[in-house]
Amino acid sequence: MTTLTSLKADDLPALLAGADLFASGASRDDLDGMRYWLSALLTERDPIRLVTPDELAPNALCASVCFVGSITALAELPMTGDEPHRVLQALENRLGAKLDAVVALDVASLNALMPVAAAALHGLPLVDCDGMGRVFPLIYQTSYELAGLPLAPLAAVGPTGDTFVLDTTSSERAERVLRATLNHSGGWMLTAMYPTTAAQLATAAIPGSISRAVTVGRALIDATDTDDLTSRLQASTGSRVLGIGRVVELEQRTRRATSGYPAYPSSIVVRTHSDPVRSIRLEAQNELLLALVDGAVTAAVPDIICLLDPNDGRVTGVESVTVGSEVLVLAIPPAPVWRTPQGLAMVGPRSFGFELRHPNEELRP
Amino acid sequence: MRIGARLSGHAVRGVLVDGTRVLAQASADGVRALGAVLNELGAMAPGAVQSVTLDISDVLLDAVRRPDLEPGGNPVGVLRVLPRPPQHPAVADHPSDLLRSFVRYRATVAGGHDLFGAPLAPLDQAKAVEAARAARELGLGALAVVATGAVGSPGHESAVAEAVLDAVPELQVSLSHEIGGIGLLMRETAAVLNAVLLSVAGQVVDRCERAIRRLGNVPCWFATSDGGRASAERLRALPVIGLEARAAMTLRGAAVRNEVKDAVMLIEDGDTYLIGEVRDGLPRVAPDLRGTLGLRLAAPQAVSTVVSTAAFHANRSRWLHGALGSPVSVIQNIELDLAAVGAASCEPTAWLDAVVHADSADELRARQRTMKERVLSMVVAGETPPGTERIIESSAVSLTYIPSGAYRLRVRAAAGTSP
Amino acid sequence: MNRSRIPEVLTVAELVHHGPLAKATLLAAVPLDAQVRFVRLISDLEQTRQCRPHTALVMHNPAAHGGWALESALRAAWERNAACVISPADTTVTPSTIALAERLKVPLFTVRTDPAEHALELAAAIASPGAGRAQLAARCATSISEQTSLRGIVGVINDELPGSAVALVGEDGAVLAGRAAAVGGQVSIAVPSVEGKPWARLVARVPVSSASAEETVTTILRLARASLAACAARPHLALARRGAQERLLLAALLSGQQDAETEIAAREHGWRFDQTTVAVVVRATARAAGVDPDVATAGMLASWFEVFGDQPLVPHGDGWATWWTSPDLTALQVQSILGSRLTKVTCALPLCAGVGEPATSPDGWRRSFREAGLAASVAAQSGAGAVEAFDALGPRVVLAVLSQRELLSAAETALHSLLSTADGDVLVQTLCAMLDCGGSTSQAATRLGVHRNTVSGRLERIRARGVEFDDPDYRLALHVAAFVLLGHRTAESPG
Repeated sequence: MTTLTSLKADDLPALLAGADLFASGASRDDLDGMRYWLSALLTERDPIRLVTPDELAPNALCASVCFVGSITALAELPMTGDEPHRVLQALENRLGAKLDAVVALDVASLNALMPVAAAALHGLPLVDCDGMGRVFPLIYQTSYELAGLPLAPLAAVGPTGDTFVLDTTSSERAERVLRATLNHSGGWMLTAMYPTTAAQLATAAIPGSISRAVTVGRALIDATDTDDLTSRLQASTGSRVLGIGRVVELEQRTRRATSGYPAYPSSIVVRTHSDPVRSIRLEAQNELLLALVDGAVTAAVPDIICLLDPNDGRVTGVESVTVGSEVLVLAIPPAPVWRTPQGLAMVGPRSFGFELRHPNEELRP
Repeated sequence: MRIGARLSGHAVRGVLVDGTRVLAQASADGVRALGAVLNELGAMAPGAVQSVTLDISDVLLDAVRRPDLEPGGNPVGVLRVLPRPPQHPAVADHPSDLLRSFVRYRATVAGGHDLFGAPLAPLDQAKAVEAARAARELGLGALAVVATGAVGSPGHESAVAEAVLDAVPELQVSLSHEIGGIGLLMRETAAVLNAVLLSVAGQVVDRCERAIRRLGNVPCWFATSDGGRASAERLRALPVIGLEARAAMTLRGAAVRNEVKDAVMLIEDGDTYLIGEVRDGLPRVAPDLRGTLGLRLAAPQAVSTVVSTAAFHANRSRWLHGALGSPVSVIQNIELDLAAVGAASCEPTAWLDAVVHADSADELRARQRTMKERVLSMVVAGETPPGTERIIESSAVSLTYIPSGAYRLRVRAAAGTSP
Repeated sequence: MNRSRIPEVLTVAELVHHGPLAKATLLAAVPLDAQVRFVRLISDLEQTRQCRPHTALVMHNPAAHGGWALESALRAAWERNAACVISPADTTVTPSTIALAERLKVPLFTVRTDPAEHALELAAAIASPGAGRAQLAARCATSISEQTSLRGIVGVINDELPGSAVALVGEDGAVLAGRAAAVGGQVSIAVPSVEGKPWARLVARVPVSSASAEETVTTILRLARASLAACAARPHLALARRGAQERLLLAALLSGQQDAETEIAAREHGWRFDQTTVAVVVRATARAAGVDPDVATAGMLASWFEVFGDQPLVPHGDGWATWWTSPDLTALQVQSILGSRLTKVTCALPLCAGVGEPATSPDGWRRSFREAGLAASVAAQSGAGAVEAFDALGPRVVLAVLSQRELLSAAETALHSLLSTADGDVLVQTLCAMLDCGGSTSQAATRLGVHRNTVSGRLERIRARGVEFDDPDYRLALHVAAFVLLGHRTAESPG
């Protein structure tokens, strides 16, 4: 993996492509407006400095910028362009201090772009790390949380122009309150949270996430065919192909919704083209959470499960899959922090309502 | 007995069809080409011709690609209705340079609704009228109006249209909710293209109707991008729906000629292959695809790939990836114009794409039923035999990352007898 | 019952056939021959990973929730060689899940009852497979005993064995009761009639081929045999009862003490004596297998009516009586009718007949019956099919009265010394012929068809045995003895 030190407009396509992969099925293809805006931002400015936590002063103040809510709502009601600046300002006002760097909460889908926009508009460096290594549906499912960093105070701005600042000691409550406001705020909000120092970030964050996204994105873009694509991905992420086939079933509300999570569960069944035929069953709720191949649990959250179009290598999101779509099912190992017992307790299958042991989980004595 | 014809440049290729049998074909070039083809086919018809369906997608695409030609696409203005004004020029604009090339004027006024129908800001109608006047002063003939949340709540767009048409009667207005789809930019693309094509479409439809009138009182239909057909009136108002008809009609015509209903179609057209799929005789379509112009449109269009014969034969399995299990039906598009055959056999279609709120599985089903009824009534408005309308596709997808209960519903329907 | 033949372990098929899975719905078309040794109620999918082979997995919420959990359970079942997976009916099962079950060949069921209850039922069933079978047998026995028709009995069996089709099939292959689908099935047991003769077969088709299911079905079918035979015998018994009534009626008429009631009864039976009546007595030839004539009547009646039309056949004495009534009837006419047709009557016993003299008065036809009886006795000695008319008998009628059975043993004693030799039969024949011819050796030789010297030699041997036929005191007795012995021998070898 190449460690980048700056981000230019030219890097954006690769960043987004990689970010799509790490979205674990929650990628979107309706972000044209955002890409256009980000490209303009980076073109009219100097490249953004990409730094590691060590390169900052130990007490440098950093905050994570994150888009929360529905991208469909965003497609219908776009950002005006001042949200990143306003949200950072609101947090700075609350903290009574200026921020020294911007961090990503996660580098998946749109959330790869938001910290970049914030860094560009606020004139700050961007830290090459994130708190998830992929996307999770709840804002506190982060390595920051595992390390004990407080989520609040947080600031949020939405399309209606309202700003809101929340103080709480409970990350769960923060998530719930924030989520509850979404439907009344136009469906999305840009947030700034987890104010912390560079020193704390050094131990709490998953390192190199931005660079990794760009590297993987380049592999996706440069690949000449499906085989080249899968081998490049395997080299850069340790991914494995679960199967290539056609979607034969797509059902909504196929299991009880796990309380506390947005949206509703759905299931996708892929019939592979292999001989003998295999059935890959994918369970989703916001992201792809579980993959069963002929009933055997082959990948489960926190593993990253994604769908690619085998014809052109593009990442296909769960929301754009239809019965008859051709897909390549890929599983990528998660960041190491998620393989620990604490990590699995927070984001393992059981925390998403699947009563089963993760395939890599060790048997408890 | 039906006639189907494809217009491309100055050429017209047509067929006379009885059910699935092609009885005759004709082609002509030049100014009176359509009239000539219609007369020839009409004369060969053993019985009365029930309808004439025309694929004018090439004409429409040409108007956009080569606006300098006559008749070409005209520059237009865009009016967005949003709660807050854009803070960066890139946000105010459209990502596609093709689309930008047609937009000579832009304005944003306050207003709009959220996905569940709650108003985000009161509509600034006065400012909308001001913007319309400014556009007209620039010599623009049409204005595309796009309000956020317009598909679920068309009120603001309709109010703008009324006020503008009152104040500036010569200005044609293209409303995004009449075309449909979720996504402001995508609807703007469609509304702008629509506005660009209004004048061209008007002229072409007039010409076609005149030529058909010589056959008698035969209804005039136009092929649409989703594999169906729309009335002349509808195409006059919404020309963008005919923009991608060719691929859909070609697939349909190929299926009719090869007498297949469910297959992967491989159509050889000179030195390229068109690869697509038909299900139950209808071409497989998807919404939000990038079309021939490289622009994403919400309206469903045929899922198809065009690949050079060389590339195809170099890696056949890559292109026919999905074909394992489905039969592959091969045909050459030489003798007969397959798109004309498809046009002759297509039926009216309609679709809806909207976001709804439902708290329980029962409520979700009720919403789906309502939407299905709406789409069915849309598809029968026309001269189709009653009782033939049916739902082709219906899906509900939960919107991610917002509290449970928000769904995007998509429904497609068709009417008339399937081949 | 042979205990060692009943297996101790049930298969999925048997649980479907007559166990708790009979109420479950099978979703996947897979073979059901897996053994079921254990039952496990699954509430956490981890439990499926630890189950023993041959376990029936019963899915219980929350493990049941969602197609993915079911697919995971199916996979675990395949890997651990579990017997089957049973899911609550409210779990939505999609076509892809069913396809997976079929690919993995794991039987997948859904049940409407509470999973915990169902698991208990399964556990009870597999804990004692014999108990289930015994219960089924007891239930069947009770239900069968309450039925009074063939259709009823076979219907009960079909109801108790919903998995199988059972039918009762006659010897000619015609289905007498039950489901035609059973014909050609794996199980077939014979059902003899009450007389022990082959009558029908019970056949069953068991859809899931398993030795144990066939065993169960065979057990149940055997229970039904006796009832079926008894049901079938009733029509026969009814016939026998009617025969007894007719016998009494005829006896009353012949006794001369009839009253108005008897005459009415006779008219109701269609019995006419108003014109010239010729009586006939039909009987078995002298020696026949020990078959009760009353039972034989039932077997004979159908055939009799077929051959002789409406002629009554009334049990009478050791045989049956019948009579012809018409104007100007002669005994010869009746004799010739009988002569040509009697052998066509199918009966377990060889038949012969005697014809009486025509009569026109009550006294006359009583006499006619007596004459017919005597003629029949003589006919009995001539062999099967013989028809003797009384007026042709002459003095021989006296011999007819001789009770053959009682005399035979005396005759055998009297001529014991001859019978104990190897050529005893020949000697008795020669003795009888000689006495028939009044002592003339040459006439006897002609009668027997041998040389005079042969007869002399045989007579010498007879004298040597101490049989003194020259003595007038013994001559008649010896003649009678020889006559009786010869008649017996003739009866035993039908001419």
